[in-house]
Amino acid sequence: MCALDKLIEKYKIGDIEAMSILVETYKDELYNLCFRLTFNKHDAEDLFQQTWIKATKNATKFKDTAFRAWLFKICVNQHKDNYRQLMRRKKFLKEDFKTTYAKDYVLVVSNRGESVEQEVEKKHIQALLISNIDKLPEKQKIPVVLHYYQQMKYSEIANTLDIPEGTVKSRINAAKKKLKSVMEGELYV
Amino acid sequence: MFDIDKYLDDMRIKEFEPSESLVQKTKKECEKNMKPQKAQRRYHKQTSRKFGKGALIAIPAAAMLLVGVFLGAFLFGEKTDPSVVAFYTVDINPSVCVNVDENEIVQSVKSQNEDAEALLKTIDCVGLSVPEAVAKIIEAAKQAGFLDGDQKYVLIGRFGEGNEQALSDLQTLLDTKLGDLIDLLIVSGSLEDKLNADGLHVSAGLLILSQMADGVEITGDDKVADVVDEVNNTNQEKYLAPTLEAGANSEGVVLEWNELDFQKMGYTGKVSYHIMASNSELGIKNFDAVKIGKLDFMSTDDQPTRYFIDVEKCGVNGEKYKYYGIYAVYSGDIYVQSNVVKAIVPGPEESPKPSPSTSPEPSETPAPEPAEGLVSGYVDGEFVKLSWEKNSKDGFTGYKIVASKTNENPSYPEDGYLKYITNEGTTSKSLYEGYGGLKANTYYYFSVTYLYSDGSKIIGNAVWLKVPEKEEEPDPTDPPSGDMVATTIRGEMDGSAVYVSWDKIEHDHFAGYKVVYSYLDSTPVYGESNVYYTYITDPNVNSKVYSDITALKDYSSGATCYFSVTVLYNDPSTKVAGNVISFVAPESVPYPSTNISVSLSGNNVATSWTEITDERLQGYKVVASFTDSSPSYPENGYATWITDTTVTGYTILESYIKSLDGYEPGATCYFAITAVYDGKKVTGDADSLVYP
Repeated sequence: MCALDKLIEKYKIGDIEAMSILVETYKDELYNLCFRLTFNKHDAEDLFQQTWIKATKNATKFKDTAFRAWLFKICVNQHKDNYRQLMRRKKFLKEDFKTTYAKDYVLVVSNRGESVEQEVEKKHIQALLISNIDKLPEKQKIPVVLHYYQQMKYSEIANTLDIPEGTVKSRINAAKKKLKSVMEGELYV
Repeated sequence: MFDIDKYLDDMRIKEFEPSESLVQKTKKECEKNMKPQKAQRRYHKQTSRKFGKGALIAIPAAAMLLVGVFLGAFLFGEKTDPSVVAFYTVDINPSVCVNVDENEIVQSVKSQNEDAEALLKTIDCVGLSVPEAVAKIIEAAKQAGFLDGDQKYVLIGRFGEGNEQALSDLQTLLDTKLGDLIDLLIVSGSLEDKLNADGLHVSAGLLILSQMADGVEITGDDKVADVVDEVNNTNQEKYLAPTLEAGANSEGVVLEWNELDFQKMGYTGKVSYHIMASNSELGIKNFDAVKIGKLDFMSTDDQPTRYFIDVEKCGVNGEKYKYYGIYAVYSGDIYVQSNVVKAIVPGPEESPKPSPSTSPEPSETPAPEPAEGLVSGYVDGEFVKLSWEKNSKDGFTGYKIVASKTNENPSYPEDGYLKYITNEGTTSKSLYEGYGGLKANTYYYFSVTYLYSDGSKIIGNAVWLKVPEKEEEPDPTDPPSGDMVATTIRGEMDGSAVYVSWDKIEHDHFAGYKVVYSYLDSTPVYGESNVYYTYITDPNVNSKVYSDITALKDYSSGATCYFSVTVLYNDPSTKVAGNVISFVAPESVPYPSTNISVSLSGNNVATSWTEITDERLQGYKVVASFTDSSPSYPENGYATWITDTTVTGYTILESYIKSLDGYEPGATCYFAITAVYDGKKVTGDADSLVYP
């Protein structure tokens, strides 16, 4: 257990300062995860706050695992809850995540020898891909977001989602097949 | 062809910071919610009350878990209505407690959380039988959206005196009526359990559920899905995959593996072994492999331990596949991988072309642990596909993909590089003609150099592959001859079948019809969420039959199904959505199966079964297997295909029996009938005999 993880132990016995340090330490990483799960500033802020509050309420459940992984697990579970509620309230009226909007969040990685035109095209395609990832069923979308946006390893995702590593791989693979088919339909037909 | 890996691997999303006001507000909220540990009401598992473990996640209704009934004495007199003798808890997430009298008639219903309070305002269950009341509660929860998305769990508990049969009857009824809609979990306990739970302000059903794994704690905020996840997580290491061995001869590849102790795992239910093949070890490991066989069986039945892959399927000299593995699938959604094995069917002659090793030496033992520098590759269509073992050492800075026509062991920087990949998790890359100057029809040595921050590097082995030619681009065509118009769809319904037809499109740039349907989107257009499609590229095909719309995705009884046709055009790529028609789906009618009986007739086997009179039936596949105790079509092939649905018998000839995998004198052969419907196959119970 690292020093940061020990902070939560301090928090569990009523050390308010300990939780404050934990929030400061993980705020950026957690906020980005929230944003990538929702792609909406307001929803991300809600999710950020809900995650910390849940972590506070469930502090006694934290055992000897890494705090970061535990926090991410709470965040993803909260997101799933929010999604279910969204479905209940809005009855599938969730606004489509538009490609034009997605372009604001793409950071194009330049490769050697790529022209400006190629980079622009790549940005367009990646924005289209992001908007299609957002449309995946949550079961597939969450592992994709954690792996490709958050650069998490399969084993970390398995731990976060409480599923075997093989299941993570199978869901990502299924998502890739679906994305490939949709992208080919939108780009090449 | 869209290279999904390339775009996903290069995907980077901008980083953002939370605003300072959000952070401060969050800290304050946390402070408000902060309570000393001792102030929290918690329940910790009582080890003295233990029920069966495992097998909880995604339990289909057909494989429901009935936990042992414990009818304790009614010791605690908390009930206010003397006619109440038992309690049912329903957790969806609205948590409801249904109080019943000795005749299992509902006397009162109480909410156990906020969601339930709102739900109960819309329904009245007093005076109903338990099945009626529970069905009504589930329906109301569904209407309120609680059973949408991933959440399908319905946990029902019975606590108190009464008959065990009542719970069993309820289980059967819900399974029949709502089996496709929900994942049902059944628990039961004593009135003492109920009072314990009340004292702890938790649902009695959830309390019993939490006891199915050691150390699972619950609070009043926990939802059924949370508890199921936690129980499964605690038990998850119990899921195992078999250890695989492989052998090959000129006829094909034989895979063999050990039996698993499902009882020890705590798993009861259906298990599927997916037999996977790939040309690279990583293909199997990363689920980028081809499923070439599937063995389904119940955990309580005899287990398959062998699978034969015919040379036609696996190819000679590893032309098609070299690596094999098994994905053990539990409850339809939990995948556990076996080790990967390599097996190559020898060709009639030694391959004349010398080439560097493309992968580790053949091995019939479990695959080694990942090792840096292990590179493999193969040609797929117009691509050279390289994959390599993921780095596991500290100080990693990137992979350099290198190629050389002459250097048998190319490396960076000596041979330059084609691609620099800094994402440690990226372990494959597709290359093609023109990429980094690669020439078509030319052999290259490809490799990967692993770089580290201290300046060290690991040079991978090389694979020698020919870069294929790019597929020819279609010739540019004339400009469109007219507007890219929509088509008009029409349709009619007959029973549960729907016939749709649409106007033909005559256009130079016509690419295809996407015939779409959706139960969830009233204006379905190809490419949108919850919209499913059939792709027809022949402009003259302008009709389609959905033989049973109750079998379509997202079906629920009484729901409206919407149909439309989206027309696709080329140059420019355009899709044009047409009008929408809709039909209300009828009640789903189950697809019947039939059981087989077998007996020896000399060295032939006489089979018989009961006729299925369902109009949707297309025919019977008579199936036999020595290796699969629950054989079915198409997994096990078939002895004959009978399309006269009034036929109820068939004699399987000795020659067919002896051609089956696993045949040897005195071996047990299993038989079954798979009833084939349009889009659906249902296999009845198997029968067996010892074949002389």
